[in-house]
Amino acid sequence: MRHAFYKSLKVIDVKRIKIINVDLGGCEGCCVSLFRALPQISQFGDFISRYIVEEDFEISDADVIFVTGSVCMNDPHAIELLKEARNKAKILVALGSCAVFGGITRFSRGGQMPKPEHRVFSPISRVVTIEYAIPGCPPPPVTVVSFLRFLITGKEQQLLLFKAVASLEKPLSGFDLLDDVVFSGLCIGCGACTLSCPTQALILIERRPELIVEKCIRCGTCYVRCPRASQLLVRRYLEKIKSKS
Amino acid sequence: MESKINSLVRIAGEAKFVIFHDGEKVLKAHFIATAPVRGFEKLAIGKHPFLLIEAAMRICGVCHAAHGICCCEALEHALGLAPPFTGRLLREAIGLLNRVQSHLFVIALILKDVFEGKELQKELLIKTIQNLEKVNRVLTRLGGAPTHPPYLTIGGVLRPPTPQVIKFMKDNLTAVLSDFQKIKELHFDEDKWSEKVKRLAEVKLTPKFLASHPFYGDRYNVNPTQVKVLVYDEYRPDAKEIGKESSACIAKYGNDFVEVGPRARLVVYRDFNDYRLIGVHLARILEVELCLERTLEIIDTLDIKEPVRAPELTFHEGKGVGVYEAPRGTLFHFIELDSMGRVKNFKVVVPTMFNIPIIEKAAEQLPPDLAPLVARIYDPCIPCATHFIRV
Repeated sequence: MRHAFYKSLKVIDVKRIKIINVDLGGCEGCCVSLFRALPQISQFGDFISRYIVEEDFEISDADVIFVTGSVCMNDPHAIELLKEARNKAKILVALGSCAVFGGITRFSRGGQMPKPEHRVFSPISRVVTIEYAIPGCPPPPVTVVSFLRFLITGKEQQLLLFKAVASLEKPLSGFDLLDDVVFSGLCIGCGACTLSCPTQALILIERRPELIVEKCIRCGTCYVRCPRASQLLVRRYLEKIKSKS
Repeated sequence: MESKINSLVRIAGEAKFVIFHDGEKVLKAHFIATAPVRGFEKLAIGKHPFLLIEAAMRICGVCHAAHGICCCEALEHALGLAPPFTGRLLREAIGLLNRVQSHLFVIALILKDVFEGKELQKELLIKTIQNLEKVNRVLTRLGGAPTHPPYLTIGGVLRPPTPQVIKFMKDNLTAVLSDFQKIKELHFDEDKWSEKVKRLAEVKLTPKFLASHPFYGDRYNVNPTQVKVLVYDEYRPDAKEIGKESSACIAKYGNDFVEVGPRARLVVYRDFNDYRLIGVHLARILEVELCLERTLEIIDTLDIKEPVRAPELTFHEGKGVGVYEAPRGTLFHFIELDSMGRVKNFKVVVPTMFNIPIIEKAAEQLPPDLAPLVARIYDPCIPCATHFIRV
């Protein structure tokens, strides 16, 4: 099982890498997060984003491309941009809950001027294959830096969760955490979910998380941060790999 | 002659600048936002006000708290609520920290234009990011997160800071204030400016200004019924084809196009009178200092034993408007709730919608190579601007 996993995993074996950020039109919070990590990212290689370049931003061949924002399925320009990023990237990473699961934009219903046709916003994995996914609204710079460090030093075990999230076919939310961990009795009451929730939609009551449903924005961060749910994710992913091989 | 700058860089979001020029001077300029319309006003309909606040904060990842506060103000107006004094002060402090975050971010983006010399640019970039990180850490403790702070809620804030947090805030913000002095001095030293900025400083623009408050926002200092919104090709009928591409709209105040933002606030509420185009950026620098000083003043005034949230919350039918001074200027949120207290109508008018005509007007007197710089100086925010309402 482990052997199959290592085969499926892409790691980088060069010392300095080229990293690009491509945004598909989100709130820019994830792009700002990457920008904030600039001093640390610079240690790993060259970082290019619209915030850094002098005059023109073009997607060139890169070792890692971080895609931020969900893809608008009714906007041919966004789809083209995403496909171009896929073609130019050795490793394509969905960064932030919008790119990974759709996040708040999953609630979009279109019909709003001046582009009423912009109706469906989807995770980028619906359009292209991605290698890794880092949810969060937005993911903190330290997560991005750790991810890059794992990637460069080939820490497969630590990358496994990001890989498992990238392989998911359905978005995650607070309800999935309740179903899979709390209601099934797996919850240990550690509180990691409540600390990770970016909207404070989870509160601990008698050492069990309770979801304030009106506040859940379907970012999936709680599920990935939960020590039990993340084990489930990894196990299901490894089983999937095994059955395929 | 037509030039298309297909992707304006070093601004928040995706936009392009289409300019017509005779080789020496820009004759016509069109600022076209190309980011998709995520449709937050439509998305909000039928949702609970709590989700609305979270959604509103996700309109923008740079001025998140500004949208959150404006939305809370509108909801409180609709529900006939007011936050207690300490809650209101904490909210103001969260908003000011967000303004400092946004200004520091823009300062970092424009460094390459303002100064020459890679070493100086790099040194200032690192310094600005370090200061930004300190402000982020303070906002994490005060607002719950550095981006989209979740402690903002209807009727005040979710929780008061502890004495340890107050001390942490004081230490860090004082350090940022003293560190920022060098960045400020360099920006005001005209000898250090790049050739481009020196040329830009020769051009003046004196539009009408709109601001509602120096630090927070006040719906009684402006008239929200005077806000009118146009689709781009309605505003520029001479550019129907180009305008169709735009995913942003234009806002007018009464019959006028007005400038909003740091310079407008300083002109209206202080004795600032630098009408050069670079004056917008210098006003931004001055505002960082003013906001940090005001936040430190708030920290000294705070009584953390006082309530921070309105004691009762009842959802019912109502209409409200929130007016808030976001980093980029005056922001309006209009809200209508149904009999269940759910959102019936939600409309947003953002500062960039006011500033787009001003950016275009400013560019239309400059050499073509300075046009992108003008757009950056005004700090347009595309994720915010991709909205449409008729007020």
